[in-house]
Amino acid sequence: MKGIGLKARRITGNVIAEIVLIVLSLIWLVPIVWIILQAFREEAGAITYTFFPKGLTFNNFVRLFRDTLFLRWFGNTLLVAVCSCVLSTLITLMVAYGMSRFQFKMRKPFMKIALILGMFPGFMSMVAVYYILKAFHLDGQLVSLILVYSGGAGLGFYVAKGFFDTISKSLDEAARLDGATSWQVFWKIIVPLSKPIIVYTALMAFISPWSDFIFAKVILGTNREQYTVAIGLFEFLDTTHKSTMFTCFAAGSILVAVPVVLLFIFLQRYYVEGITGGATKG
Amino acid sequence: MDNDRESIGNLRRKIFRRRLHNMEVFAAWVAVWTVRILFGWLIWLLSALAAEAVGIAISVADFFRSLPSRIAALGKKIRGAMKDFALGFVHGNVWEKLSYVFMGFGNIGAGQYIKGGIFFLIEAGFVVFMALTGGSAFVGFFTLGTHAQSTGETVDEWGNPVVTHGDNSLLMLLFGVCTILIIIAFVCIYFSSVKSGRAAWAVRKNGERPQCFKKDVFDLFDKKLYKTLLFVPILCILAFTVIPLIYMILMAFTSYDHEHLPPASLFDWIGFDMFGQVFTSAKIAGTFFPVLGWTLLWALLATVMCYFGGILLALLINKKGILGRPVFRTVFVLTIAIPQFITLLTMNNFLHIDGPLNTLLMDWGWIRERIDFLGSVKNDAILPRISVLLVNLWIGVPYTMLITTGVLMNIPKDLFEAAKLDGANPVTLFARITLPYVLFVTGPYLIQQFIGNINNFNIIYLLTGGGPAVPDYHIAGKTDLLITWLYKLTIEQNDYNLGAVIGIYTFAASAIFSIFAYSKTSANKNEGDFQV
Repeated sequence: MKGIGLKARRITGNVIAEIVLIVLSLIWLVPIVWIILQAFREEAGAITYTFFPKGLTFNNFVRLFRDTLFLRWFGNTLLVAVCSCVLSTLITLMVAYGMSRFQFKMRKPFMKIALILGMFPGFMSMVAVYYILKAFHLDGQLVSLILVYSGGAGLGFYVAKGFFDTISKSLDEAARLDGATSWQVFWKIIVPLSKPIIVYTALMAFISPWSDFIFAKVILGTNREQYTVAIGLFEFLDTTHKSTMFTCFAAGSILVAVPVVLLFIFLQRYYVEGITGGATKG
Repeated sequence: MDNDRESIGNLRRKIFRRRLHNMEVFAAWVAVWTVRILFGWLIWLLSALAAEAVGIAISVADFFRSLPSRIAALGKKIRGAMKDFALGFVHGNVWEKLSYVFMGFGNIGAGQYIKGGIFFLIEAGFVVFMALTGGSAFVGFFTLGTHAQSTGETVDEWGNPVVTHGDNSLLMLLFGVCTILIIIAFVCIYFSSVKSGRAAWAVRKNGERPQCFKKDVFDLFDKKLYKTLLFVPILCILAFTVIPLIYMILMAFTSYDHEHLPPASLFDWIGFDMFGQVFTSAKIAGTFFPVLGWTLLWALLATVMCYFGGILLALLINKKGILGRPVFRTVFVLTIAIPQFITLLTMNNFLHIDGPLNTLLMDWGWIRERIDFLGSVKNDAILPRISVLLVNLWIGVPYTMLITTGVLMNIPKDLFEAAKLDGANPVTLFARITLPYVLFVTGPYLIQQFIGNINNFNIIYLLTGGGPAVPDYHIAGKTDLLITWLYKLTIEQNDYNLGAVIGIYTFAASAIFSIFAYSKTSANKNEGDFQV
């Protein structure tokens, strides 16, 4: 009797849990479904008084490619993302290796300073970065965006350093006995063993240019040719464009979101490992 | 028969009532436990805070008590170094003496031609730089410009007033900061060159050859690889983090606001005026403190809600026997993966007063009139604040879910078994095992989240734009955080000095909090309660 009661309770519990999960997923999905529907909406205007569009069309995508600079913005963002991904990953790994395997006088102070610098609100320095770039006539250009995104990477070495600390030092020593220099140890031993952390660092560096718009906007200013997708699409929603461009914004958003989402879903394991510093092997 | 049926009915009713009673008991018991846990935490938190405060007070007292001896030790060290430096000159040979004036001559004399040559070139380059631009830039740092741009004093051949370009305080401040950093770097290189020359001669006097340049370069890839590895990253950090930061901090001490905008006019040093104004000026203080209060409340609520929501969702998804787990997971991960500006702008339109959510609710007949979720029409503060918190929950819960899923899997099962044997119920299990374990592993993540929420610019800016704006605030709205207010003050209003002061205060708040929190988590780690 008791066993059946327990079983029945577990089943009711699971049914309730299942229902709750379905309701929650609906809450999470409705806005996303809505924006996808808007991308295919036929009627013009920013807001319609129906949830489902009256007619469906591909025209918004056509307009996006024909009438706007979207393709160019997409290319810009891809370029920035790839470059800053490579540079930041390199910088992060280099600093992390230096911090993990060498003992020198400035090591402890540097780590503390990095922690403190990381706490300053990022765009408190944004305006200053803009003037520095302007002094070198680099404002309004994609190069400066790449520099800014990868320039801060040297401060984000903590996760990678923690990972390197877990790689046994006896490996290094064995290689050194065979005559390898620290430089060779880094490239031939540490880097090949650090796939999870490399993927995590690269993923984060690759995704952020697609999302960041405030830094990009200050640096790129009014140079529309050089915009990234985030600023470009944001521009569609200002008061003068919104009534005509809202459906194009939705279409562009989907084109941006699909590749990023796929990348993230395939690599989410590394993301979790990176965030928790390898505390979980889920 | 009738009797029997009646009694069965009664029995059923009785059982039903008993069940109902059980549920009531269960509900009451959940409530009691919730209160107990919350209360327990509160006590724990307060006692921890008190202990921490006492600890901080003691260490501060210790610091000041040991200050004189520390200063004395430091003074002794400096005096020793200076004596050493002077004695090196007195006892040194001609080359060593020369190296005090011409950098690198010590190395050249000892046979390290390339190294010495590089030192000498650095000195020559520095002298040329200072003569050409550095000197005036250094002076400019203190004056911040002497003559402003002027119009109308002279007239060109058509009678139009001529604009004579004045000094640009902004650039002078920037170049001044750079020059000072270059001077500091040069001084460091100077001392190290003298030291390197003397070291080379010490080897030479022993009758050996000092290390050749090729070996020096080789060392940079082996024993001293860290120098090579850190060189470029540190340059980047200097250029894109440190210099901008110093520059912004210095702005807090100037009169750089909308009335003193270069290049049209100059600004000047004004000291700590702005720091005081945040407290004394009625308008600014009347905005700063409410905004600070909301920022802290927001950060606390947003972090705690997302954290617990995420853990509960993770528990729910990973419950034994749940069907379609991967589907649910993917649905929730979607919101993390979509770039945030897209989800936030979507939400902005979704919750708009004329937006689809209101339309749906109206169509279903759940509401009579449209709800102003984001405060774009009414000046009510409560609803927009709840909306941003809920949207943040919508975005943040999947993050915690994703991260805690792995942690939950790793909880040693025997802990649960043992507790169950002792008659623990699900709530106790959650409060006494699951939660402490997850908190232990994700402690640093929680701190990062809190700091991230204090500086959560995107969600406020893209969702409500800080609105609803109210007249008794100085250029701010009811949902503005310090960071969005800072943005409005600088980018939109050009009051850079006030913005810089706010930034410094924001930094101070987050720094104090994280130092406190990190010291707590590292203390926890040492106890090793959960380390298997």
